[in-house]
Amino acid sequence: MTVVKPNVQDEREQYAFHDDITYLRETKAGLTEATVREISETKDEPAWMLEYRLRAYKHFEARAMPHWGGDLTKLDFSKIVYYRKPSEREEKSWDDVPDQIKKTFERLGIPEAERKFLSGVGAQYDSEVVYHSVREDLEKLGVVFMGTDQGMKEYPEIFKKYFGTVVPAEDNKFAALNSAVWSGGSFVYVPKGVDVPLPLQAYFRINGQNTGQFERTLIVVDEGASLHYIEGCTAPNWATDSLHVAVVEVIALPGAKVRYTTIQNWSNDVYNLVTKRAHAHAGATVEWIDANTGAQLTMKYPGIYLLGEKAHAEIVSVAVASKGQHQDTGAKAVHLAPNTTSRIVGKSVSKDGGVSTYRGTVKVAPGATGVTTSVRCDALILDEGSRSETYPYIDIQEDDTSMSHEATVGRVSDDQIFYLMSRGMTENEATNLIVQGFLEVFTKELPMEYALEFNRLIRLEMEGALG
Amino acid sequence: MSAATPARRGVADLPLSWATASEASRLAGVLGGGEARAAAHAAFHALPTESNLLFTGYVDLRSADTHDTALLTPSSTISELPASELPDGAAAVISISARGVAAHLGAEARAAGLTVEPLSGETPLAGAESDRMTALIAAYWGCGIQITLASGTIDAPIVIKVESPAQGEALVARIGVTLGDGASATISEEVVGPRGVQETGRGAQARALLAASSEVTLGTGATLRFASIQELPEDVVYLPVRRHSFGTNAELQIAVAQIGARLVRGRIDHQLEGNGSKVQQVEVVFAGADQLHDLTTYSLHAGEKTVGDLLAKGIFAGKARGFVKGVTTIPRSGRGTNSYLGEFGMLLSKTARSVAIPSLWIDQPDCERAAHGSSVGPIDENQIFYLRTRGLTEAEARRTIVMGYLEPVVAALPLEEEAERLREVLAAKLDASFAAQSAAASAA
Repeated sequence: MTVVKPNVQDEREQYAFHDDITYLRETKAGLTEATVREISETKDEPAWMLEYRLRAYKHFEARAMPHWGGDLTKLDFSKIVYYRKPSEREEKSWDDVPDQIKKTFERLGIPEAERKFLSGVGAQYDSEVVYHSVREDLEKLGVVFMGTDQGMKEYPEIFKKYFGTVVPAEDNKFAALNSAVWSGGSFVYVPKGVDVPLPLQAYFRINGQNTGQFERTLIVVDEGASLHYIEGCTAPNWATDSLHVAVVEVIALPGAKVRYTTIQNWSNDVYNLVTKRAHAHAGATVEWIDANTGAQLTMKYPGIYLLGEKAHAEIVSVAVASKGQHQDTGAKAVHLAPNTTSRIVGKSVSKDGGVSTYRGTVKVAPGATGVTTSVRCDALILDEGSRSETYPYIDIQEDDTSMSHEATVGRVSDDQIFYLMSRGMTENEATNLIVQGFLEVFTKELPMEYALEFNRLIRLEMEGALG
Repeated sequence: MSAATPARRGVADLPLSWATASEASRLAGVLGGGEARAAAHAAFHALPTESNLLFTGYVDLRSADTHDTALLTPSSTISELPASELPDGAAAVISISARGVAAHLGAEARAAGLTVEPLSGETPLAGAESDRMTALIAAYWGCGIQITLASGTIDAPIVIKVESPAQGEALVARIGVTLGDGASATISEEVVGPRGVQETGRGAQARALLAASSEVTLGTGATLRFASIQELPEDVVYLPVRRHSFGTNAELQIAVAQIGARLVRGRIDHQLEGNGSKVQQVEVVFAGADQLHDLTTYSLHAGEKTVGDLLAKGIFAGKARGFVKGVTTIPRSGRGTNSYLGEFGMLLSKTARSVAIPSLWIDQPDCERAAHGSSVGPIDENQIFYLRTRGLTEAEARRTIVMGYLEPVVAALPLEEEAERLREVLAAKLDASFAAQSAAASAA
């Protein structure tokens, strides 16, 4: 029986709109110490945060651009607008969100998703979080899910204890930039032993032209608690550069379980330069489930520092690089305690001249005995002119480590295509299916609604892959 | 000529008092190649020690105390070795040392037309413009030979003995090997300490320098089997540069064992430009005490249907460090490439360190295979248990397992006597490191 497949429509258009919005406040393009002070003043922050921002700004200024990774030569920091405030405050009720912004998120399907299958949702529009809500029963249990700015004010003790401890301001040039001008992001705290049953979701939207989005997310999951956090990102295509420089810090205290899922679908004019890192304490599990399909250049290597005995790290990173895109992604597992384990799976697809890079580190420090770690990275190149690069760093300093690493690069097999075409598929459909199968390691980790959405995204990306 | 050693030095500094323009020009006066030497001298001073940004974090030359070494310029004429120096079963023997170059060609080698001549000063050394250690050799080589087999086959191995200089000396040598179309030969290289000089023992620093190139050019359909066993004393800094260029359907089987030296920084380049050319490389690294082995293999699959099969196995004991790196490049022209790079390590002590960076850079989707694998693991306790149930002591069991792990590399050596000798060397080093370990354990 022939399976009739619906034609895939190019639905990228649905994210490509932008709102003509009048911002309540925005800084002038470019970054100076005055910009940093202005952002801090607007936010009415404690003095220590201004100090922190200024220290980070100095480091950002002094630090050279990374000489590895993607091409950053065209990134012009002076053209970026570092702060754009779209609404007065963060709302807890959807009805209170300004109409225009509400419409945007409604077009993107956010409130609908919240009703259906989420424990809570947050939405950030350019520099500020416009909406955050969390299910009432979870709130009663002490689960905190709010904008990071609000978190700093309402939970200063937790905030100050953990902020900047996983990713210091001086970690790298972009972490320094984020630390200087950060705005928005999610602040999550899950108290001891609380199991958050459904995912919390944050949705990030860049709207304005040349906007820099610098959200800062801090997630603290206390002993024995568990959390699944999902983030999604979109932006309209302005054909001028936008910049997304986020810092995400995750702290999984002893016995906690945290899964952090990202579906990144920025438009192709965004530089996506993100530092994501987690601390996994004794017996904790941290999972980064990370997909990158958008942006012109992504440089992102979710990392897990295994600080306590028997901590476990799991990183699944998939990337699709199409025309004009460079996905420089990977993973980092640093074993600092005995009997810790990690598993890294990287999958990438390069097509239409896209470049995908796997750049990963596995490090076993002296004293971290009994470590088991495995890395697997596979790449598909769909056509000539596309490129795949693989740079795994494996640094072992303990004699009883068990480490294995495997990588392959190849094309879609003609035999598989032939077989599927003999079953009634077109070549494009067959390739689609094979690519979806190749990326299944990621898809199967997603909640069903997201898996469907992701597969649709991949079909979209694959449209016209074969002429 | 001996300025004081800089008080502070970076990990990648290689201070050499003789690496001057006037020394390069003096050597050009003796051996020729003025322009190339001047350019290489400039490159040596301009280039970073590690130009590949992937690897810059893994450079450490601090144990090289070579600043005040005396650069040797042995006689450029090739003297005749007595026939008694020809090892049993070998076709020819060539000796390169502080004393100069000497050779003896057996009847088979002479009949096949093998020649060994001083290297022409004008012979370019590819890579000198982009790699600092290659530039070092190109600028300051004081001794060079060219081995040529224009056609035909020599079955028995050509033995090349390279002796490091004594403490306080530096020897920079070039070895050119050219096989013409369809030619076939076997080379067995032994890299050892200076004859008649007792090892002075291991100090904090290494005070002798041996830098040597091996420049292999293979014509259409040429086949070379090449084995190198490096057993230098542990007061030597060894900087080998191997560059192999392949004609159509040319084939190279290379086996390299790195056992000795205090510091080894080596680079191998396979330029697989000829269609259908093939390289099979096996490498064994055994480092103990405070040895550092820093080895990189670059494979460029520029031709169509080329094959690269590279396997490195390392054993690291004591406080040894091993940086085993590889870059496999498949440009657009490399259709139908079959390439595999394996880097495997075994750590025998808690203070040893193994770094593996096997990289791939692929621009051509039409490849038969482009893969790498690497693993690091301890000696499997289950295997020890099994062997003990078969009557072996624990020490014997450990030794058997490690020797079994290295055996695929050892067995690839062309001469059985060499393989046997390498097994003995490895076993002795293994016993010594086990002894050191148990001494350390009982002291603790």
